[in-house]
Amino acid sequence: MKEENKKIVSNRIILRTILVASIFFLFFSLKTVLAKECFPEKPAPARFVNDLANVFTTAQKNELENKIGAFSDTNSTQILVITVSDLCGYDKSSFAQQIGEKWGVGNKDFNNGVVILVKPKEIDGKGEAFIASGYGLEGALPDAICWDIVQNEMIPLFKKKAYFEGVDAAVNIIIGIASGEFKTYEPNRTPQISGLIVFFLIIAIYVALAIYRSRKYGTISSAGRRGGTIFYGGGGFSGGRSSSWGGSSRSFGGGSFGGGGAGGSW
Amino acid sequence: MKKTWITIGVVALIVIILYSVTIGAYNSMVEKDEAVSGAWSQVENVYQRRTDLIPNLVETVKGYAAHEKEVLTGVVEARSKATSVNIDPSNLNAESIKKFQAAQEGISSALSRLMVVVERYPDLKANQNFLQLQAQLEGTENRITVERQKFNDTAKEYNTYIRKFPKNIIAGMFGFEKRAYFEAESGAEKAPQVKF
Repeated sequence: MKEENKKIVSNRIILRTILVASIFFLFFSLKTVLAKECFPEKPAPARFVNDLANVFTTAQKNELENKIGAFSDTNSTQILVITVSDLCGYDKSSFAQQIGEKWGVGNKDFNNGVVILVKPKEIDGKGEAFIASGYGLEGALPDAICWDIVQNEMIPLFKKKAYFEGVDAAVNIIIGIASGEFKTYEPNRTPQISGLIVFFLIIAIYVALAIYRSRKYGTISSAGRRGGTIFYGGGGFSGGRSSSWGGSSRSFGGGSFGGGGAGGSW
Repeated sequence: MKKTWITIGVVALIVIILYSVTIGAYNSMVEKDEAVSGAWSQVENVYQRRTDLIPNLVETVKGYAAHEKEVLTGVVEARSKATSVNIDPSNLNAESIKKFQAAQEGISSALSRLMVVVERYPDLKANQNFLQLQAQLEGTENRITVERQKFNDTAKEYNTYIRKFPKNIIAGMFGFEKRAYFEAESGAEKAPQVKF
């Protein structure tokens, strides 16, 4: 009798724990869903152009993406373009700073990221634009310059609803300014080249040895055939290499933002 | 005989594990503590940046509104008062942070008074130099907000680390103390409204 009672009580406790736990779980998952709703998530393959407000055509998006991508490949500076329909209650400066910081725009060592934020006027009657510079670009792209770009290049075009042209102009200016800054940075390309040199050196030694051996032991005609095969293999190697360079995927580098930059409204 | 060796071995193992755990925790505490000090110097940097902007700003405004003496001297006085308050990261506590904050608030309110006065001078508001200074001032206020936030985040990380069991015992042994936070004061620390 007593045993049974105990069992019932312990069963009840277990049930209650499960109930409480599931309520907690529901509550927290609901909370994260609600929190996620507004502030944009980092795009899973990194994209430099994030047109969340749908103001660009696909061709315009691709053009900007390619331009910024090519620039970040040579210079390591990353420019993020983001258009939004809602600032989630944030000020435009802190919205842009948080996007830059959370997504990690720019190289981690240089902190050379830029965020160009645009909220079109058509949504709620107030257009807002902001250029945020990462820590490493605060010298090259001081607030006064950002302010100048927003006021004199972007907003006049945005007023004519020429969103692509305005952003494109800003991107061009920033590329011009930043290209003088981090020129020398070449991400892990040098080791690959020296690896190639070592590889060809090994092949050269191997070929020389093969020729030497065949002269010593075999006939001249067989040496020629052997050398040919080896060179063929070398050609196949370099071909595979260049195709893997072309298909490299990009990612944000983990740059940090300190609140630098300037913006304006229209 | 065998038993004693086993006991000695177990004890030695425990001592070694305890030692390495303590060392790891201690080193992490030092790192996190240093991170808080670093974040503090960033905070001082951005406030310093604002202080450095003031002479230029005052000069520019003087060029157009020289007879607004009261407001202008207010800014200069608040500036000199604030520059005298500097805190070494090693004596960071709630009190010293409050003192620092109070001095910087003096600048904030003096600057917002200045910006109200500026509204009355259309020529000044159209001056390119002034507009750029204004953009810099706004950017500096944004930086202040960001760095204060980052300081609080690093301090919170450190505090959470040293207060969790069993690290709190190690922290107590070596005298690691809880760090103070920056407190947002109701309205007083708001960035001066810079209107166009």
